[in-house]
Amino acid sequence: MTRSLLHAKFAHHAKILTALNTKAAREPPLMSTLDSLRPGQTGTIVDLDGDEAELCRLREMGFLPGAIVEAIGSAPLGDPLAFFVRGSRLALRARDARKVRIATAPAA
Amino acid sequence: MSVSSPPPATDRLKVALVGNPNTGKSTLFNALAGMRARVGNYPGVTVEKKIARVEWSGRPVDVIDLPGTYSISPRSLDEVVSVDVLLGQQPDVGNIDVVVCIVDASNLERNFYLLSQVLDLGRPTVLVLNMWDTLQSRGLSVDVAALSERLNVPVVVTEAHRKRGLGDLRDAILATAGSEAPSRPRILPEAFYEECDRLQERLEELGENDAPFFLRERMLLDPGGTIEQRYLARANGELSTHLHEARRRLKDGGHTVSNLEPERRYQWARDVLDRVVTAPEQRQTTVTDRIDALLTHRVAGPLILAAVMLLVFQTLYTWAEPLMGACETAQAWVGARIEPLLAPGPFRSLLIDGVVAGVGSFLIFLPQIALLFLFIAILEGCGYMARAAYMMDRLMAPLGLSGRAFLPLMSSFACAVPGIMATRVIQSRRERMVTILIAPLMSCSARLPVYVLMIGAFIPGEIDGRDTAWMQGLVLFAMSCLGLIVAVPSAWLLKRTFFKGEASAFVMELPDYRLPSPFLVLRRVYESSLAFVMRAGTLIFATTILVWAAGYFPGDHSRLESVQQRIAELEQQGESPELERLQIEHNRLSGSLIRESYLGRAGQVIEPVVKPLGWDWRIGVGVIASFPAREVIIATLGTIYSLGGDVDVDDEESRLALTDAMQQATWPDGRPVFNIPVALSIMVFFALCAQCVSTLVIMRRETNSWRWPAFSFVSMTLMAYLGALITYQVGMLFT
Ligand SMILES: Nc1nc2c(ncn2[C@@H]2O[C@H](COP(=O)(O)OP(=O)(O)O)[C@@H](O)[C@H]2O)c(=O)[nH]1
Repeated sequence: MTRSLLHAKFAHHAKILTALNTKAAREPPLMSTLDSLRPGQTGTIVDLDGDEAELCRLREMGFLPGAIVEAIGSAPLGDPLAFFVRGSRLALRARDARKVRIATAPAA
Repeated sequence: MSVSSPPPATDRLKVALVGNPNTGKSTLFNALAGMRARVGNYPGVTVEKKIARVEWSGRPVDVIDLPGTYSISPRSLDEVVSVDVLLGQQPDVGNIDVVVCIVDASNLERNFYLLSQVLDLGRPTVLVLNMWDTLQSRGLSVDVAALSERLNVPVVVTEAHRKRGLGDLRDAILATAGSEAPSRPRILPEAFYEECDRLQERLEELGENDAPFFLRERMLLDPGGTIEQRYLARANGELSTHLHEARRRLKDGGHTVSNLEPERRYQWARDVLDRVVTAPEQRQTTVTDRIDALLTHRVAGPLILAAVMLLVFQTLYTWAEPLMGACETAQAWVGARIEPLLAPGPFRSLLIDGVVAGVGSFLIFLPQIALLFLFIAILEGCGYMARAAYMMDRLMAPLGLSGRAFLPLMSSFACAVPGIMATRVIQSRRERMVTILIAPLMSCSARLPVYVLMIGAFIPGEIDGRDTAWMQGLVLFAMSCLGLIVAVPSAWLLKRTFFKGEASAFVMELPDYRLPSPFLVLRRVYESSLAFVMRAGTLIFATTILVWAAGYFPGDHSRLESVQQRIAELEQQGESPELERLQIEHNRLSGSLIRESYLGRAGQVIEPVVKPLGWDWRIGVGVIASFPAREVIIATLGTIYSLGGDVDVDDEESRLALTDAMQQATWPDGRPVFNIPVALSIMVFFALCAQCVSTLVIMRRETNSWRWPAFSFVSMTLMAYLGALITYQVGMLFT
C-alpha cells in the first residue's frame, strides 16, 4: 500500500473516531491491536495482518477495516477475548486478535 | 385411509432452509416439519440430512434443513454439501424450488452477509426475519415492505418459538415456488462480473458446460477452496492458469480477492439496511450482558461451570446407574421367562445369550445418551454451551482443540458412546474428527470392573500388617489417567497428520441467552435416542450374536443340556447336595465347552502373540470375547475358570471366587499365571484398547465411514499391546 493511500485510510478512520468521540477529536488516535483493548473500550479496525488463510474467517465474521469493535472482556483464564462487533458477541483467541490492527481514541 | 400411491417425487416442492447459527433455524424447521422429520446422512460426509415430508394446502412439500453457517463459501467437503443441495446438484435431494433464508431480525447486518451469498445462488428466495420479539424488545424497528422491495424478495416476519408467522411463511413459500428468481444484486465490482463471464467461456472451451454462476464466483473468490479443487480435478491445468490470471487481473485493477467479498457484502448489507432499520443510538446493556457478567466472571464463572459439569458427569456416571440397572434386570427377567418355555439347546441359548443379551447390550446405553442429550439440548438452547466452550478454550487449545471439545471428552469418562455422539456440538469437522478419535481413550465406566477385579486380586491391600490400600488407590488412579495422558500426544499427532489444514482463525459467537423451549429439548433427546437405536443398535446387536456363536460352536452341548435339565428339575425341590454337585458339573462343562469353542481355539492360536505380555491363552480368550464390551472379560474368565458366567465384581463372594481361581491358575510347568506385572499389563491393555463394539459402531455412524473405526481399532490395539508389553517386561525386572 502506498504511503498516500495509507494516509487516506487513516484519515478515514480518524473521521469515524471523531464522530464517535468528539472529546478526543483534536488528538490523533492511537494505533494498537485488538488484544490490547480494555473491557468497555472501543476501537476502529484499520487493517488485518497475517496469513491470508487465517484472515478470511475473521473477515467473513465482520472484522474488516472500518468496523467498530468494543472489547467485552476475557475468559477467566485470560484467553479467548470477547468483542462486540456488528451486533454480536464474538470470541477470538489472543493470537488471532493480535492480527487485527486498530485505532483507539486517546484516553481522556 | 387412502390407497392412492404418493405422487412422483418430481411433484414435490423442495424447500431448503439456510441461516446463521442461533437464528432459531432448528426451531423453525421443527415447527414446519411437525413430527415428520427424517434424519439421515449425505453420502461420504458427516453432514446430517434432515428432510421433512409435509403437505401444505394439498401440495406435497419436502423441507430440507441445512447446517447453520455464517457463509456458504465451502472450505471442506462437509460445507460443500450445502452448496450442492442449494444448487440442485445433490442427486439424492434434487432440484430446490425455494430457498428460505432465515435471519435474526435483531441482528440483520451480520446475517445479511449470508443472505447476499444466498441471493447469488439465483434461486427463488424467501427471507424470514425471525426473533421479531427480540427486535421489538430492543427498541429496534424494520420497515418490512421497504426491505422486501429493495431486495426484490418476499419477506416474512416470524417468532419461531411461539409458532407465530408460520402461516404467512408457508403462503410465501408456495407463492414463490415456480416464480422467477430475483435478479442477483450487483454487489461486487463490474470487473469481477466480467471475469465470471470470461471464466464461463473458458470452462465451455474446456468442455465444462455446467458451472452455475455461483460456482464460478466461488472459484474466483476462494483460492484453494473446495469448488476450485473440484473443477481443477476435472479440467486440465489450463483452468488453474486461467484462474490465476483472472485473480491477477482483478488485483491489477485494485481488487484483491481476499478483501473484495467481505468488504463489498458488508457494505451492501449496510446500504440495504440504511433507513430500513432504525436502531437506538447507543448499544444498550442487555440481559445477556448482565448474565455474562456473572457466568463468565473471573471467579464465579469457573465455579459455576465446574458445578454444571459436575452435575452432568454425576448424572451420567452415577444417576444413570439405576436406569441401566433396570435394563439389566429387564434383560434377566426376559431371559428367565424364556428359559422354562424352551428345551435347552442351541436355539434357547441363541435366544437368551444371543438375542436378549444383544438387545440388552445396546439398550443399556440409552439412559446415558438420553440424559446427556437432555443436558446438551438445554445448555445449547439457553446459550450456556458457548460460554462453557469460551471458558474451557484455553485448556483445550494446546491439544489443537477448542473449548467445544470439552463436554464430549468429559462425557466419555462415563461412556464413549454418548461422548462421541455429543461431538455434534463441535462445528469444525477436523476438530470433531480428532475428538471422536481420542474419546475412546478416556477411562469409561466399563473399564472400572476390570480394574477393580485385578487390583483386588493382585495389588496387596496389606503388606506385613501395614495398610497399603493407598497402593490400590494409586494404581486405580494411574489406570484412570493413562488414557487421558496418551490422548494428549494422540490429539496433537492427529491434528498434524490426518487432520492438518490451514490454520483458520478461531471465531466463536456467544449468542444471546434465551429460555430453551421444553418441546425442542425433549425432541432432541428423542431424536438422538432413536437415531442411536435405529442406526447403531442393529450393528451392536449383530456383533453380540456373532461373539455368542463363536463361544457356542462347535462343541457338543448335549451333556451340558442334560445337566441343565436336571438342575431345573431339582431346583423345584430346593437346596440339596445333589443340586450343588450338578452346579459344579455344569460350570465345569461350560468351561470345557468354551475352551473347545472357536473362541477358545482363537485364544490358543494367539497365545504366542500374547505370551510376551505375560498372558496365557485363557486371558487371550477373555480379551477376544470382550470385543463387544470390555467388562465381558470378567464373565468370560468366570466361565473359563469353571465358575459360571455370572461373576459380579460388586458381589464380594463371586469376586473372591474368581480371584481365587485366578491366583491358582498355572502354566503347564506349574508357575502361577498371574502376578502383579500380569495384572498391570491386563489393566494397561484395557485402558488403551478399543474393545467396545458400540464405540466403533457409533464412530462409524458419526463419521459416516468404516475407515475411522478401523483406524481407531488398529491404532488403539497397537498402543494397548505396546503398553501392556512394556508394563509386563519392565515389571518383570522388579520381581
Ligand atoms: N425470542 C425468541 N427466541 C427464539 C425464536 N426462535 C427461536 N428462539 C429460541 O432461540 C434458541 C435457539 O434456537 P435454535 O432453533 O436452536 O437455533 P439454531 O441454532 O438457529 O438452530 C432456542 O432457545 C429457541 O427457543 C424467536 O423467534 N424469538
